Amino acid sequence: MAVSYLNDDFFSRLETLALNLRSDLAGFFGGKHFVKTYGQTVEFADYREYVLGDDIRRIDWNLFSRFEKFFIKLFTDERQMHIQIMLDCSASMGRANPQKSAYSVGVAAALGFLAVHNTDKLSVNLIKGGFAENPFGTIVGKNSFFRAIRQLDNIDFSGESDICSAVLNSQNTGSNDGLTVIISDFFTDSDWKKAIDYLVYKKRQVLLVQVLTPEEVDPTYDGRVNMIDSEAEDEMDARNMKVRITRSMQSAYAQALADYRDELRSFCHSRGAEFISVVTDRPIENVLFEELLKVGIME
Amino acid sequence: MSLLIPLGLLGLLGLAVLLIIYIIKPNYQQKLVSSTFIWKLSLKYKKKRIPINKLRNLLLLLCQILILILLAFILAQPAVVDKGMKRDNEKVAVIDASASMLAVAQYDEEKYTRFERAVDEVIELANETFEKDGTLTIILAGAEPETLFFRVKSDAQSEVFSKLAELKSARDESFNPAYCTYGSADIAGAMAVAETVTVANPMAEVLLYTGKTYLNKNGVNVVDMSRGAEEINVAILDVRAVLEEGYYTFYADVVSYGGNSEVDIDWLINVSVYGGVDAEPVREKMHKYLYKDEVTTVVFDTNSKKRADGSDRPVTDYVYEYFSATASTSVKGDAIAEDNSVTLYGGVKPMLKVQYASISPNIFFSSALMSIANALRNRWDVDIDEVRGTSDTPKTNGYDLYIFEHRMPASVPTDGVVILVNPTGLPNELGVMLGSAAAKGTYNLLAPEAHPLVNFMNVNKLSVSTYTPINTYPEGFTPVMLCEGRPVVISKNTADEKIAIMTFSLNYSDIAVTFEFPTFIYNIFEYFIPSTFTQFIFEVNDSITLKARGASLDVTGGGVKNTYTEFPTELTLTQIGTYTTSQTLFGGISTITENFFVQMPPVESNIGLVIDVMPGSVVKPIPSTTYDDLLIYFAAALVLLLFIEWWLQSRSRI
Repeated sequence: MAVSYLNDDFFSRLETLALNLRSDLAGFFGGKHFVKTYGQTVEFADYREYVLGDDIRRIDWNLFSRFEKFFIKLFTDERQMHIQIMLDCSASMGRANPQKSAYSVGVAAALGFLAVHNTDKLSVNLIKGGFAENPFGTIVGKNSFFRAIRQLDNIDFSGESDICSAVLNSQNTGSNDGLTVIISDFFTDSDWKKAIDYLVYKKRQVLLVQVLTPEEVDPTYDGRVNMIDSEAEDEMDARNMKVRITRSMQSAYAQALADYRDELRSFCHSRGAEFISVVTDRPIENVLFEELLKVGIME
Repeated sequence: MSLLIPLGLLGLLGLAVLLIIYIIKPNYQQKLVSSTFIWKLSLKYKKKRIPINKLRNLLLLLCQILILILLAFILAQPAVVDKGMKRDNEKVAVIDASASMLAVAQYDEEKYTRFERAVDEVIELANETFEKDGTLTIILAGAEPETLFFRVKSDAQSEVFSKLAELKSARDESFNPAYCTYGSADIAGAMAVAETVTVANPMAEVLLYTGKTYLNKNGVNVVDMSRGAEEINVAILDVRAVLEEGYYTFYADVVSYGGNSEVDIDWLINVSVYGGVDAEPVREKMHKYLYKDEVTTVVFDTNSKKRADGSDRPVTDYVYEYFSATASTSVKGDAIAEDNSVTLYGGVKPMLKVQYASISPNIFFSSALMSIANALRNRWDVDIDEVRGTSDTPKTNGYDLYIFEHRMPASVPTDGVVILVNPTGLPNELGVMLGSAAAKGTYNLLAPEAHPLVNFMNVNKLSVSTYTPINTYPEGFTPVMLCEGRPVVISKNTADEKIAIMTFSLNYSDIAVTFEFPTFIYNIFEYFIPSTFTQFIFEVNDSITLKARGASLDVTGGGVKNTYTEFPTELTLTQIGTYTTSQTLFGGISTITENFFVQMPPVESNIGLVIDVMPGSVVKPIPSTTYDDLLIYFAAALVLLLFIEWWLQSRSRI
């Protein structure tokens, strides 16, 4: 891969950031994310009346002296979340424009770094065909992360991907325990809505990151073009198309793309998921510091 | 609008090229894209929102086609006639004065011919032209074009109208318009004269007043003088006779131009024999139905036992020789009467008596004479007498051709052609002196100059083994062949003396065994006894070559009475009818009278004649000033179309 965003400078700038996940997630013990449940931290949260079976060591005697009732002192709980990053590794993500795949890997690495930086568990799933491969296993800690990240640059972006099947077939989706990030261009006939519904059903926080190249946003070519789809098997593949690109055609394309993005965005909002669309000509830091902050995933 | 270079329209072939380009034009640039997913979605938007694109593409193609058409037209140099030149109002009137212009419409009591109507039209044209202060040229297209008036203006109108009135009123002996010929008109010559006007003024209008139809008028305004179905012309185109089983069968080609006709064909065969007693002519009448423009051959077989009306034919009507055979017809309302009768002569061949006198007759002479007599049997009835040995004395009168071999007559005959071969001595009256015979050897002959007696002969290849040279000969003799530079054949051909002397023996020459000898005998006939004419029916204005055996030849007939003394002479006859030639031979000893017939050209009988192309040329030189050039307008339209095409292209690209 010629283009790579993964370097020390990149990661050092991310150290000041953290993922902001929903507080109603359950998670695992040992993390840094505050959750709505009460736990064993030192940070006071609330009082409640003593009920039979409570640990009497947690009775607040000062309150008993004032109200002659037993109150238990409650403390906030911090949990470890499981961040799952699902990276679309189809040919459309990299064959035509290597920068797109590098950018996608960069976004995945950035989110992954934030996860391990906050002692969360991280899974990087590579969507290939109808399956989500997890070559690195569950990553905990920066050492594991950097070992894994060195291999991200060598991912082969080829073939097709079926986001829906990959999500549904994922063996460790988890439930109410963290964030699932799907990084793709979503230029697919796969039923991505079903995948989102499934993840929402699993009470996962969901973030869709659509990565597009400038050429995909604003095609500059015109005239008679035989467009070869990067996922096409040969020139006779039905995904290829001959089209005479005119001004009107370009207008239609822009309109179709905008409508498609709106569809993605509105569907995500309707399901409580987040959606951002990024263009690779923007610095990746801008995406992290603006788009993700804007949608509240990052803080 | 006119196209000065019509071949420029070949540029329209570019349309085919354009269409081929459109058909085979792929021009799809291959582009690897991440996904065509959005593009396929966009098709729905495009279909819904921009249906006018197809129309735009069509407009683009239409625009390019128009550009190509304009380019082709620009190559063809479009131009319009300069109206200023049109105002010049110059007319050239060509009046067809051919025999077909004598046609009169059926039931026209005034007998107004096409020619007279044409003159009327020209009078009207002259009036209009002079009123507009125009210029008028009048050409009468007869046997030769005659320019009556050349580019005259109104100041000469009195002369013009006077001449036109004369054209209309003048009559010949047959009460036909005197200025109209009985032959064909030289339209090509008339058009050449007209071209001298159109060269000076290309806008001059040439009008041809004729009854003929021209498919390609070649720029000439043809004014039709015919009256269509009102004119029917029955004509006898040809008469010929064929001797079958000793008796003649006569054929006449009859036709009815312009419509069907029912006609009677009258045959009149004069069976008078030269020098014989006149006999009653043979007559026959045949009834025929003629279909329009279809030539029908009417056969009069004098050898048949029945007449056309079914009655028995008397023996006296069997014709074995005839003086003249006339086929004639008459139809009421016939357009042209002059072509209703044709007379054929030549039914009696004149006798040509030949005497060949020799002490030891030569088989070569006899054979050659027989061959030539056979070859000329259509012209002469040759009767050959041979006088052999010394017992019989050759005659010196009563023959047309005398051949004396070895034995010479005491005096030279004066009533015929005399050929003296290998003489031992010659009559003193000839004044020819012979030398002594040459020693035996091989001597080549030589023709000192071209002479009718050695036509078609290769004299140089002939040789003799001995000869007697002619030492001296009087004035009037011409050497024909030489041997060692000395004459061995001399000849003299005057009205009264026709003599050839050959001073070597056929037995001592190879001439007799070559083709040269019969040729030599044939040349003797042609030189000394030529046919006066070669056929018995000529057409008006044909060039007739006349030869004569005598000193002079009288020709009478058709209002002509001329005497000719130099031969061959060319004769052109303008009147229809029988012409008689007569010549006196050998100081009045004998007289020959012969007849031939001059008929109207059969092509002129066809009153509905259609001619493909106007003969001659009235091609007008086109100076640039006579046309308003349209190039600037076409170029402007081209620029506009190019701009529109560019605009459409730019709109369709992005």
